[in-house]
Amino acid sequence: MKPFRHLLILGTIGSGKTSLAYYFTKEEKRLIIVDTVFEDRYQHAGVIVHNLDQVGEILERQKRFRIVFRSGNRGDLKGVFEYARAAGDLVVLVEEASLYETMGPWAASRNKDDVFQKVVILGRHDQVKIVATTQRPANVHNLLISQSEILLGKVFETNDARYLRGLGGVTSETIEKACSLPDPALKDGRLSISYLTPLDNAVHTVDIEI
Amino acid sequence: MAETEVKPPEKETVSQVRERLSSEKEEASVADPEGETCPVPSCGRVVKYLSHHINYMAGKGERAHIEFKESQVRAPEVAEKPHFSPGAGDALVAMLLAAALAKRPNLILPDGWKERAGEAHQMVLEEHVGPWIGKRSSLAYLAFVWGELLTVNLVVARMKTADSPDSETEIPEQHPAAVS
Repeated sequence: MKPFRHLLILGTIGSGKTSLAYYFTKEEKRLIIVDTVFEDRYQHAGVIVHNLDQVGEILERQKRFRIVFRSGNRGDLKGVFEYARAAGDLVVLVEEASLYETMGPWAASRNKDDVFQKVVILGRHDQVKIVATTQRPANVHNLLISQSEILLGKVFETNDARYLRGLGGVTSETIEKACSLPDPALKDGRLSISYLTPLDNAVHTVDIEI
Repeated sequence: MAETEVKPPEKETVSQVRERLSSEKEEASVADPEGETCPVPSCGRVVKYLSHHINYMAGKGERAHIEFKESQVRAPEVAEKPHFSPGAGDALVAMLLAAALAKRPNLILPDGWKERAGEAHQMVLEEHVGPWIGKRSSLAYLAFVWGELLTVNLVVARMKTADSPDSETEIPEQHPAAVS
């Protein structure tokens, strides 16, 4: 039985993080996408809502849902996590997680009752899985990093590469391999994206329909 | 003795969370009914859904909003407010100058140097030191200041002033009164 792990997708701009996140969640029947920068990819990924109460309303009424949450208020992410814990058995996909103080390096340590910390640690118990994408792993709390399966896209930033080394099996060899991953390529209406799994240093490629 | 059953703490239901968040939002809106001010300098409008507004304006081709949106994705720390108030650069220059003058009281300074140095330090603090230290500890800023103080001390120790001797090994002339 595969252990319960959150999923963290790291990589620079254009490395295919959003497409990978979409690929790994497209079969989920209970999904909340926190669409931070209003990605085109999520335009048809679910019902688009703009305020937190609409998220709660859908969770109350429906057993199955795919919600694309586009809010102007980054503080709403806490509310999303609270709903997720209450509803249980769902996936929360957070785009550009490093933009949220709720998921930042200092957030969870300030308050032991922090809902983000609870979701990360008690995720298996509540069956709430976090899928997060970020360009800046140093700006994401290492609690999430330690509890996540990491997928590495192309990495350019020296400081991020330095930070990654030592995390979850990421070695210098992993970084070198990640830096030389091919860019996502479009062919015959499908996007081919390569990523690395640090634990076995294996390169994987997925073809995603556009 | 009968065992007492220990139950796990009850979790809130979705309805309870919804009710609580709604009342929290009402309290917040009473306290501050306004939305957020758009951080794009040329806009500055108060908007309720900030990202929506920024993306809408970017979609209309508003160049400043496109650039801000891109800067948010690439380097979120750039959008943070400056960590140093106006005058911090001048204050830093004054401190460095005091350290230099303690070593070289007759130090010669070019005209306007203090003002230009103050402006340069203000720029460095706001655009480089501030975003770099971000939410890190103020020890980083202290290290920066101490580094500058040390540099100034080392440099002025070797600088010449208007009445400094040409050679550090020059033996001063013996006072005639000291000749026995």
